Amino acid sequence: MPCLLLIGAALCLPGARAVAAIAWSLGIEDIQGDGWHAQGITVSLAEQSVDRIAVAIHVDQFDLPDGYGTLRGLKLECPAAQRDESGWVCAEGRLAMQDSPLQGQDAPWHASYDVQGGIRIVVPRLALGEGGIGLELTASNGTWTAQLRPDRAAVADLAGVSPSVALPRDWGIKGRVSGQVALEGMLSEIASARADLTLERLDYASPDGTQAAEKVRISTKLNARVERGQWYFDAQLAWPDGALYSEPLYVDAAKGPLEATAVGNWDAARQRLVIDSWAVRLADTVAVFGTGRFVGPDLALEDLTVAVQSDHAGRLYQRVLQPFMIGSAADDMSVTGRVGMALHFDDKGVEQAGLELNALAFEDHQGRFSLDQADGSVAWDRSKEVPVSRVAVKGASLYRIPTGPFGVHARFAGERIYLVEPVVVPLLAGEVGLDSFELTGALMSGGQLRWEASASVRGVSLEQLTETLAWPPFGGTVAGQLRNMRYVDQQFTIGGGLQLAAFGGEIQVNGLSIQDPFGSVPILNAAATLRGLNLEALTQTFSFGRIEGRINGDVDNIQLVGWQPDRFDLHLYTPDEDDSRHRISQRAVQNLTELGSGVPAGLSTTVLTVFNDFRYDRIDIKIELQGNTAELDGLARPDGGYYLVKGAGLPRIDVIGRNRSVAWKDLLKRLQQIQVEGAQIR
Amino acid sequence: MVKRIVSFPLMALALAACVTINIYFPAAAAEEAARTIVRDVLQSDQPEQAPPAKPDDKQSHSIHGHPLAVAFGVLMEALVPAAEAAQADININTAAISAIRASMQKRQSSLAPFYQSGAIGFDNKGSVSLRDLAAAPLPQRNQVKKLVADENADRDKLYREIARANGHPEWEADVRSTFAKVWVQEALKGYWYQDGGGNWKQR
Repeated sequence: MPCLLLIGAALCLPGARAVAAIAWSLGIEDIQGDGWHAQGITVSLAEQSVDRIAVAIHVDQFDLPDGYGTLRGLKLECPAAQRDESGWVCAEGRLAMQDSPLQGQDAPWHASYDVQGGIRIVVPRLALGEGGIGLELTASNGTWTAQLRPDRAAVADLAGVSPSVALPRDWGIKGRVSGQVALEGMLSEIASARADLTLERLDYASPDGTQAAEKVRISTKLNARVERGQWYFDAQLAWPDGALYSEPLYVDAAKGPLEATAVGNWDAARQRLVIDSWAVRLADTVAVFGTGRFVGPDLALEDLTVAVQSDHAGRLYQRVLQPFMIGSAADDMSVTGRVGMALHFDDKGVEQAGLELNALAFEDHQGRFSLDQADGSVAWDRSKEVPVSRVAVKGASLYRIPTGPFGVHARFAGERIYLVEPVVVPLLAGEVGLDSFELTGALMSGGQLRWEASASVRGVSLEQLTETLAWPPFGGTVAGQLRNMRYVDQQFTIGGGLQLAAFGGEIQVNGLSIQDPFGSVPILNAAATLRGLNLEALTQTFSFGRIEGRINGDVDNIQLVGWQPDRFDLHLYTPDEDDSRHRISQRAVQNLTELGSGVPAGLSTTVLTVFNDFRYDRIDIKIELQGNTAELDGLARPDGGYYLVKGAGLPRIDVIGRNRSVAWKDLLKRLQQIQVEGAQIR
Repeated sequence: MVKRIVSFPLMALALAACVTINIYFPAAAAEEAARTIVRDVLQSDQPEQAPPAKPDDKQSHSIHGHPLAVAFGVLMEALVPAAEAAQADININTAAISAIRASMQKRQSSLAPFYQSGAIGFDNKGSVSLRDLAAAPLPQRNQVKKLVADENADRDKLYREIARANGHPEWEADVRSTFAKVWVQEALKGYWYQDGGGNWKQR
């Protein structure tokens, strides 16, 4: 209830030359209402003729409601209000304020009042920094409209007007707003709102650098109306220019503008926001759309659907996904293809998810992995049974080892992902069968991530494998059972082992584990046993010089760091039970001697050159590599040396080592320099 | 009885002789190794500066007790196999360390402009930290973050690998703190670094 303190009123008779005119003024010291307060009010009226008066309202101080600020030295004057048939018109009014939330003002205005009670007040331009804002108010029979027309008004100045908008002060926010906001209402209720605003040259930068914008232009349109107590709205946003960084996302509209729309309603009484449809489109990159329902004072999510469609998976990865993957193995890839995804959230989180892949391919730029082309769909539900997910892969590679096409049929149920049938991956003329795979804890929050798998390797060609890895080529196949495969804390461990059928014998690899397999320095640990390898096949493959006989080997503590040998304990020896023919060629003797001592054996200068090969009793080679140094050893000799090859019969030739310690790089160099029959070990 | 009287002091002597052979973290050797790696990575063209020699901190033997016990201890120490008593050294010539150094060297040219601009700097924990992301242009901020993530992953591996390659995984923290000091000392002109109190300073 407004109250006022009337301090005086005066009725003045003008001078003798204007006998008919009347002038009066009313002074009010103080008046206040709900949240507002005015002091030092003077209302003056001066009749200039029968149809023309001058009006002036002065207010010393006017405190606006809801903390909107204070107007000081307010002057609202109309020197000539004219009456005509329809009512009163003030064609040239003046509004002045010494100080206001919009700064000091001195602006023209015009207004009209018709006899039916209609009022129209127009203030074409109030100053606001380097821009301005125009106002137009109309009212008639309880209904009213208000229009605000910002014209290059500074964002910070506009935000300063409203106490409910608090922009960070140290972000240096710059930008200008132009356009129009129109409100309609009846009495104290707003019935509709329309806005068509353009924000130009938006620049800001948070001190920590995590939020920034450069020359952003955004256009927004909003239509909202009230029906039966609910706001129905339709909003559009277009972002055609400028770049924005919001850690970790960086979006430059020059690479494809962004558009967003939302249609829905807001029930203030029930505190319920329903979005019938919403969409965000990043041109040539991705479209995200859906519906949503939020309730309560905090607008807690009740129901949300999200559908993602991208016909440019490469751009989606580069512009949106990659920043979230920085620091992982997947942060440096090229991607092609199309993807679609659908998610349904309820108040407990994700309830359903679906993924559609169309010709999706990716390749790690460091050559660690790739996927040639994947097509298929994946479905998951938190609690219900879902159809089997099927993905067909045209090909893939791991450390440049290529696979053939394969299909994955799996079921995603609750917190489990498991194969419904084995995945058979053609690999180097053989195949790797992923017999079982089960992942838990990945799809629901709070779960502990665990996975286990078992696989079998069948008939993988060693010849193709060695060729792919640019190793010395040798024949044979790899087979084996890989049990209890796990990946925990960046460590990939495999139970069971691999059996390599090669060179007429068998190589068994056990205790395989790879630490940080996709890091810059993966560390592989393993152990291997070699049994009954045919030396003739082996030495011919490596063009080492012919050796006949069988060889066993134990390789313990194998450690490859960055796929380079860092440590192993190797022992190659003739099996005790080997009764096969034992012969070693002159060239092999020469190479073994060079390997052990670094100097040629010099057989060519001796009488032994007349013999092509020699009998031997045993071969025994031990190499213990630790870091940079390899320790060599063989069968002990009483004189302190050691036999690498202990000869037999006549002419007898022994290869005896005397140096026990050799730099690994020198040993490698010797291996690389072994030139036999035109071949070179790489 | 006589035998007991004679044997008791001998036993007591043996028990009282406190022989401690501790291979402490070889700080000076580690610092030299760190300087080699850091200069290699930064491709510093600054003149080589010999690190201050601190031979005492390579190895420490402390002997306490009765003079007789001390003498016994000295005798025991003389009998300790040479390998055990040898001064600890730092080996940085392993395949893993070489691979990590190569990886860091390759990255350095990309990191250098951001070290110079102050977007990133050497922190006091042996890592690279984002100092002022705003100093990097908007389109390059994620690139900076990736470079920092990759560099720190390599540095973590480097410190771990040096400790491991020298047979003392428990030295990792010492290796890290040694490197933290050397990165700062070797920072090129214009680079930013954190002092012990966490304040950023420019070289």
